[in-house]
Amino acid sequence: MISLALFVLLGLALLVLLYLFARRGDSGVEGGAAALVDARQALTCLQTGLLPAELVDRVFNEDDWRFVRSKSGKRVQELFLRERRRIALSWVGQVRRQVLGLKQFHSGQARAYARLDIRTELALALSFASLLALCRVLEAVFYLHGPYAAPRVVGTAILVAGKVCIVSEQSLAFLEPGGAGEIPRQSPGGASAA
Amino acid sequence: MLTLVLWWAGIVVESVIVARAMRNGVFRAYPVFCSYLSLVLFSSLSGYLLYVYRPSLYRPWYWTFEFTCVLVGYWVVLEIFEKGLARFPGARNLSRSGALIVFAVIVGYTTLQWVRERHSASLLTMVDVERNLRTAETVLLLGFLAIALYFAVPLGRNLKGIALGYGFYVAIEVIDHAARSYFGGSFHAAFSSVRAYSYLASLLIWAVALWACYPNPVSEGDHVPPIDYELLASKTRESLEAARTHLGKAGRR
Repeated sequence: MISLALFVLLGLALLVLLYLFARRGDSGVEGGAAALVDARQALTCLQTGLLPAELVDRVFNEDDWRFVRSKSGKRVQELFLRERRRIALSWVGQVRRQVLGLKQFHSGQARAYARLDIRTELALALSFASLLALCRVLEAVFYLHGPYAAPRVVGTAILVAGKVCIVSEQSLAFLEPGGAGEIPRQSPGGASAA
Repeated sequence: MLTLVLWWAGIVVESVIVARAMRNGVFRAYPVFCSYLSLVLFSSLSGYLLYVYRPSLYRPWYWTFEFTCVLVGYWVVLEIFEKGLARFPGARNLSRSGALIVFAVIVGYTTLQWVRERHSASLLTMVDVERNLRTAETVLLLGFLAIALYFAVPLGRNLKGIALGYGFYVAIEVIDHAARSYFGGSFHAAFSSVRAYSYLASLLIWAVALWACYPNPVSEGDHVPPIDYELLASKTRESLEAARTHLGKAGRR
């Protein structure tokens, strides 16, 4: 019975991956320069539109909630909390997308290397997967407890977003041609030249 | 009656695909897959004639062609790997290592099973052997799809269609053979029409995907990696670790 379940699971896993593969579309067809531009645009958007301290502080600060609670009725309070939770969820979603962007950027670059290391790639794939799962956990915390239920989580999420931002910036800086003079470049044949 | 209708429908679609492939350049682009389909077409036609005029010969003929098709099917999977990852040496080398491991595991498992059951009452049947061989194909295709999805490998319509159609066919075959091996002939009778329909679905996927020749897309950044792989991997790893530490703290609070 166990072997039957194993074979059937393998068959079903193949069907699921085929579905994802068929659904993927042609988004993978991107040039190196285009990928760099996209990543740079995403980073700029995050840094200027999402992460400024005053904006984040405004969204998650409890002063607004205290004001609404003291001056308005129950319906307005509910509406306010609902809207703030939506904003918080959207904010964590942006963090997740940044991690996803980093993953796509790494895989898009790594696929062309002849000396790709299977263990390194597997470890990185697991790391990306666990990191994305952690982001989902954070989303669940916001969804279940609202934006004000765990202020420390919000604080840490801000740190994470900042970190992801730095990560993206580093990735872009050392991958951009001429962006890092000390980095050895690789010849088309695969040999490294200082 | 329905079985015969599906059989003939399959022969018609196979003939159309092979005829189109010879004219539109797909045969030159994917010779292994097109040879495989030609072999299947030949086996379908000859099988039908034997089934109608010499039924006693049908069973040995069926298993001979079935195993031949499974073995040629491996080449189809390898062709999918080679053509799909041709411009990505890193992903291709990774898949080769994975394919070798899979082959070793499946061959080892089947040999072990055969040695273990050689002296027992439950002999390893043809269905078991084919199930194991199909399982190896399934694992290889799983590997290919995982690599294609993870590395966002761009594939042309032809190759995508070949992988989709063949993957769908193999997935149904593995489930069918596993259940047949476990439940016996009664399941096969119940599942045979599902199997026939799914094969027809695969043929239709191929017919649509291979109607014209579409080369694999080329992206501008595929050929010359800008920096060392080790540096790319270590930088990504460092960044991930830092981000994970912060997220881990957030999750624990």
